[in-house]
Amino acid sequence: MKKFLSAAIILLMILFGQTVYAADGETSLQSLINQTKPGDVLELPPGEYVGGATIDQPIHIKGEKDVSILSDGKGPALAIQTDQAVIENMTFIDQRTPTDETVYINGKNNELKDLTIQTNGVGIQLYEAQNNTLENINITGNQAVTFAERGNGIDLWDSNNNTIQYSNISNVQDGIYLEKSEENAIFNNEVTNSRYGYHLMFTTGTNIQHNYSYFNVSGMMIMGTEGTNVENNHLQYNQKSIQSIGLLLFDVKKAYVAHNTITNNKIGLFVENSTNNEITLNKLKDNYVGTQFLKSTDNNMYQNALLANVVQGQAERSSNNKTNENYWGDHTRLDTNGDGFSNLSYTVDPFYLTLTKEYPPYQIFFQAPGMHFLEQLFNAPTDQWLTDDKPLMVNPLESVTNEQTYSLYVLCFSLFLLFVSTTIIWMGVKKQ
Amino acid sequence: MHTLTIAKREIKLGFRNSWTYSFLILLSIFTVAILLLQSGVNSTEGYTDMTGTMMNMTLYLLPLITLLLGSVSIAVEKETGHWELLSTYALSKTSFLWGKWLGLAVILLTMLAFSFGFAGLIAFLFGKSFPLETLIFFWVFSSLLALIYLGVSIAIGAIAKNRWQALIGGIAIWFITIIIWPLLLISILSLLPYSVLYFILEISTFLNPAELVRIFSMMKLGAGSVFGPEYNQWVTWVNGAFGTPIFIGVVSIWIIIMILIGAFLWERRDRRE
Repeated sequence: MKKFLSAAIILLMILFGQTVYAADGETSLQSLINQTKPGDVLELPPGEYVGGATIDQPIHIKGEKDVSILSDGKGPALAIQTDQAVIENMTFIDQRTPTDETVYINGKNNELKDLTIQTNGVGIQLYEAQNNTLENINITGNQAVTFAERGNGIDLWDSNNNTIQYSNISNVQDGIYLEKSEENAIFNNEVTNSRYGYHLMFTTGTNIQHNYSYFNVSGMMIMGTEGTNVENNHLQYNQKSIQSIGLLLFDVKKAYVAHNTITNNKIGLFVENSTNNEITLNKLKDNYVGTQFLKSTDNNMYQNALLANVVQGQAERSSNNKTNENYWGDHTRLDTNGDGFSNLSYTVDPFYLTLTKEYPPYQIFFQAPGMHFLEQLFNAPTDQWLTDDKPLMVNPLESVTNEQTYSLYVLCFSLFLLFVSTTIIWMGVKKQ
Repeated sequence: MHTLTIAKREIKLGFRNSWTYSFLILLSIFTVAILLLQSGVNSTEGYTDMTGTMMNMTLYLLPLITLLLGSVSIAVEKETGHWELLSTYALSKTSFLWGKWLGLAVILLTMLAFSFGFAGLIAFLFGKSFPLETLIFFWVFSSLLALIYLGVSIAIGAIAKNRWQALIGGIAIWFITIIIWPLLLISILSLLPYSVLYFILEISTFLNPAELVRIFSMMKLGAGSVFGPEYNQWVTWVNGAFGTPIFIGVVSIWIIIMILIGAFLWERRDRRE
């Protein structure tokens, strides 16, 4: 009876309208898709559906509320082998292995939004897929296994011009992984508790902005890329491993790295084998090593603020990099001609880094008064020193705060201290 | 009771002594300098490198002044025979030392309050601004440092026979705890196996009042992570509910032990002679 009714409803829909309604209970998603014509909307009522479905024509699938698609244990929970499909508002649950894809896209101009994915494998795989939009996707991996046994959150292979935005990914291997892909845009996403937040391999023209990466092994790993745009990202508290890095540029050319906040990582910014990159207006604070250059040439790093990093920076086998015109929090600066640059140059003595790398407990001497004395005693070879010949006098990233309110409180408190102390002095002198 | 009498006498003598005012002027100039330097830095972010520099400058000067003031003050009592006179009354060495500590603490805290108040006023008149928290932080930091080093200086004074010994003792303690502390530990620990390194560093931090106050203050300012993951546990307890009470407890124990050790060694020496 039920089957007959649903069949009758579907028939009615086909005859009179655009929208197909699925029946309640655990239903095969594929059969519903098969009943939907190109350009039509398939609305899924609350309930569980068996996945393993393939979309091969441009349809719109919309979950009403509490719609779950379960993997059938064989292929992806949902495979999109078409262009211009829209998938929205549903949950995918997939408990297969790390190499299995929960959602698979091989097509153009598809749109995925408001999805929740719980997976042991790859959340969304884009394979030779172009111009797709992924928005508001929540992906959670398997927390119980090691990073190697997890899949990536969103994985792009040979896929160009896609947009991934407002997504939230946790407990996966790499949050968003791009390989051999061009001109993709990654905006406003957040990745936590994973191996790498964002991982770019051999990409060109990737635009990665306003993303967050917290509590991962490393925040953002950019490797073998050209023309990458990295702006306004927050890479913080990535220190799960001894080699944890906020932002890595490895074999990177012509990247523009600006306005990023890179704090509380093991190494803030690591530049290795990279050339012709522009690094500016970033804030590097409270990292163990602020910035490190290794075998890199012709990079331009200017107008960044390096504050309270345990070791501000290091340069090894790196020539012709410009590291001038930055703001160094611990620099004693002096501007004799008022041009906004200090006439005293800034150098980072690698002594403390060498000491604490070998014996981490000695980090307790961070900025201890006796450390300055000790640094004077040892002289490391100067070719490893990071130098800034023209340090900035003021922090380029800081705006002036409300001064007047501070001043009045300070005045009142100062007068109070003065009054109390002079009273005590007066009484102490006078009293018999 | 005796303790309070001694303390009152100390305060009266202290404020009538021109030395106190020379120290007061020195401290005031110094505080104006560090506050004016700090005022260029936006310190809404807690610990900055400038905060570190300011703390270091305070650590260089204040313990030295305190050590000299305290230890010489007691040695002078011995040299001039005031102690001989006082000891004819029923006055124990412990209560005498406590009286000295209390009196000198009032003098030192007053000097610090005056210099910070003065520096704050000067900074205001010059139109330099910094958050009130900065002023309070450095004031509390200096006061804590002064109180704990005063305890040490009392012990030095009690052990010293004359003001030269007191002077040398004070400078020695200052040099060990402030200047060569990392060098000393690193060179000693290089002879020991790596496994005990962390343990000894942990214990030794409690044995150096300067490091104790400095590290606690930095952790309180939210800069605990700079010490590395080895010290994460510390950061947790310092910023926990019992962090400040435990710290106050440790500082009090330091002061009490120093004065008791001073009294004990002084007593033992007297008996031998």
